[in-house]
Amino acid sequence: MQVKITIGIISFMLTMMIFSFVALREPARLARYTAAVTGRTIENGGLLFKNNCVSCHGTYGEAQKGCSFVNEEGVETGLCRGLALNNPALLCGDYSTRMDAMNTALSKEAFIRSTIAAGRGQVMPMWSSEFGGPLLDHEIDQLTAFVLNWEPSEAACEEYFASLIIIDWAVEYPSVADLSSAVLASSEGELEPGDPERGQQVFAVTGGCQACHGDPQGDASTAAVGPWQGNIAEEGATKIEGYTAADYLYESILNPNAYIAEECPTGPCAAGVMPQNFATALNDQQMADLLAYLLGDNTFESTANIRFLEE
Amino acid sequence: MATFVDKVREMGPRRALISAVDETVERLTIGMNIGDIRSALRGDEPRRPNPRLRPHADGFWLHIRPSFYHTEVTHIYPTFRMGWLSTFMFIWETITGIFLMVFYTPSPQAAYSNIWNILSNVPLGQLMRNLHRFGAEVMVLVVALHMLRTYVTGSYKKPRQFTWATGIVLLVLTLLLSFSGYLLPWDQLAYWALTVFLSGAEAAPAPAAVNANVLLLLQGAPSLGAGGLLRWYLFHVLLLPLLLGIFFFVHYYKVVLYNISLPPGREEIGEDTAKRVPKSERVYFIPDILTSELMWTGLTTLFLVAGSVWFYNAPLENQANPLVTPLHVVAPWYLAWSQGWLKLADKTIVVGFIPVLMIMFTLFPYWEWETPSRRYADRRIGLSVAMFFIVFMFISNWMGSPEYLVNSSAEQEVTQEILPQEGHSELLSVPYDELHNGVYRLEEHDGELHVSVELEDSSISEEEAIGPHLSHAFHALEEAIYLHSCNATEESSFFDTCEVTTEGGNTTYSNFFFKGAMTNPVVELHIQQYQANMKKLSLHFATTDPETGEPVLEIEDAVGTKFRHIDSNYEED
Repeated sequence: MQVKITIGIISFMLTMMIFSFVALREPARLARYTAAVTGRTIENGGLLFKNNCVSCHGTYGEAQKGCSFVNEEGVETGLCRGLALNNPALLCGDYSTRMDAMNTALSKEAFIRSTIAAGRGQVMPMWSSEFGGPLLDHEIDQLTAFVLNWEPSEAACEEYFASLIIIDWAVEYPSVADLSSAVLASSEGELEPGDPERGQQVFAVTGGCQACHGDPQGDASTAAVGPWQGNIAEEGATKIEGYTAADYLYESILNPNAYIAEECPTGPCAAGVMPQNFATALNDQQMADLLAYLLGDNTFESTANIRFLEE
Repeated sequence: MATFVDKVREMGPRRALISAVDETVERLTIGMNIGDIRSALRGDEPRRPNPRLRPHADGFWLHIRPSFYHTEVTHIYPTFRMGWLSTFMFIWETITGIFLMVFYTPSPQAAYSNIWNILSNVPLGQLMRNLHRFGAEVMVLVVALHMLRTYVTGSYKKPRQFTWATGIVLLVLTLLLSFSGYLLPWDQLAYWALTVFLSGAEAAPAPAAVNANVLLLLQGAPSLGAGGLLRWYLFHVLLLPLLLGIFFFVHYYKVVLYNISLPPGREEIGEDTAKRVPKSERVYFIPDILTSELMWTGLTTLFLVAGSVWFYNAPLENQANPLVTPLHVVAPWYLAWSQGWLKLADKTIVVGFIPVLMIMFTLFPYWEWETPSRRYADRRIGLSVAMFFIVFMFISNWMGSPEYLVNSSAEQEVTQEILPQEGHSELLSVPYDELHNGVYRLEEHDGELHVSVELEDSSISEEEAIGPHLSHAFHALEEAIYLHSCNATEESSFFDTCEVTTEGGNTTYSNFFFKGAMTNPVVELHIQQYQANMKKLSLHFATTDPETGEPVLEIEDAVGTKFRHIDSNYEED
């Protein structure tokens, strides 16, 4: 019996030693598992992204620029219109440029989460099962964590912010004629004459115009929310008397509500649908490039004197 | 009766205090004062009347324990202490279960993150979860072994038929308890195991309306969701433990009534002498059995704690998703036999057969043709049947595993081994630092499978690229490729020669292990830096049709992809 008592006591003491061994290591283990929760959430988000999002947003979140869906017979079935996600415009700063452009009051995480869950415009579908989509709540969380994990380095963000030329348009903004190549080429300013190639980037990626207005180089059916812009060089001149196409386009970007187009892909166009902050979201150079891209020419004719913000 | 103050006056404060403590101890132990306890621990003879019997007669806790045993049943043989161990495990599960209950909410929104909270935020939470889950597996095993022991020693025979019958009920309740706990983490493992189980309930041989209503009762809604989780939680923490408690007391009472049966050779055939123990062969519960049980409590606790810390880790897969069925849905090991049967026979027959089997188990001790002898030599048929049944169950369990009769393709099976949808693999548990970006190509040269490496970072040599863990993972990958591939060329090869079968114009290449194997595959593992702190692992295969020479699988297409975050910590799982 003494032997049994001894064995019992020894095993009890050993058990207590193991408990203390575990307890001493517990804070470090808890920290590792807390990090693991985040890590695995991001991993799962990566798989969801790979399975659902890459066809529009690109394998590396760089956005498919002007790509098209092609079926097995090589026939084009649609266009990719995703925005770049692995992009400083979305990810740099607590309140990023993209959020500013969308005029959102949400936190960045909530902004991304709600965009995935409830979609945006008619191009980004609603993914949450709450709205009839295929993903459950926890999967939306995983995707959000994954997108945020593309966080650019501080240096990259600084470089990005430095590249933004922020102009106070309310105080000083050029007229259409000031952006014309004829003026820019002869002046010694920082701006270069409008470049259609860079303009395409502004339209498709930086400004995000293509998400609603479709691909100007494609056909009119690519536009999902706003009017198609492929024929704006001709159409623009017919909208307001005394306005050239450049005047009309320029004013409509700066102050979308100044003139409401009649026909939108979803029916009659409505005021307040298009973001009204492009005056601050785009700099002069981007504006010149954008106009050059849409008008097919960087010598802008102007007859009107646009002063929208003073009204 | 003299008050304490009177006593102090009479014998002084010190002796009065000792006498008061003594009295209290005697009341608490129901009859044993400090002197009696000390004498019991010294191993002295008890005084008369024996105070060590009073806790059995008058106390609550010991009235369901016999006050003495025959010395022959107190050794390891014939009981192997399996009955006691089953009780111990039940108490163990109750204690660890209550701890976990504090941190758990039975709702699909909360349950899964609750488990992660237990793992990442509750001090000793992981240990408690491991103790509970490991304990559950041990308990199933112990209860099953207890039944086996009872059968082998013939202890179910008259007069203990009813003890046996309650034992079968307890076995079934143990299985249900373990299985109902399976659902609670609300992960893919749990969700799909229960879905399979419920689809079985739906196929029971009863009118469709009955089945539909039973299913509705079991999951609370037309599909498994919040209602089902709540119900299975209540089964797990309330209904099943309550039922188990009731049958446990009946079972124990029968042991007090009939005592533990002696080893079969110790008594005349047809006699039961367990209660007629001569004084010289008695071993009293207090102190001998009690000491022994306390020792076993210490040893078993040590075993379970050490096992849970170093050898066992409770699995946790991804959160349950009714829209995504994992590749291999497996029942827990103690129910895998039923999954094996389902692969062979009609669902309704299998589901109908299981209750028949259970009723047969419960009632067979009452059958007339049973020989009254408990001796092994007289029960050759019965013991042989038991052996066959055990072998049959092992084979059925193996048939329940994905190794038997699975239908997915060879490259999917290999991917499942290395980059599984759920759970862990050798490759996933390679530490993040050991994964160097590049392409690792497995190709056959001269009858061997070689790994050639093309790294993005040329400053790392090929030897450095494959560290100890990654090398381990490649061995697993090579084994998986070997098992799922065959050689369709004329030359000798690392792979076994293909067995070619043609059926309806389709040619199938097989090896001994797998039907529809890949022919002489080339396999690539791509490791790519995907985000700053996350790598992408993908598995690529290239095979060609041996007849036409046309490619079947192309190396550009990834068959399986997984991401590996720097913090995901699979090493520790």
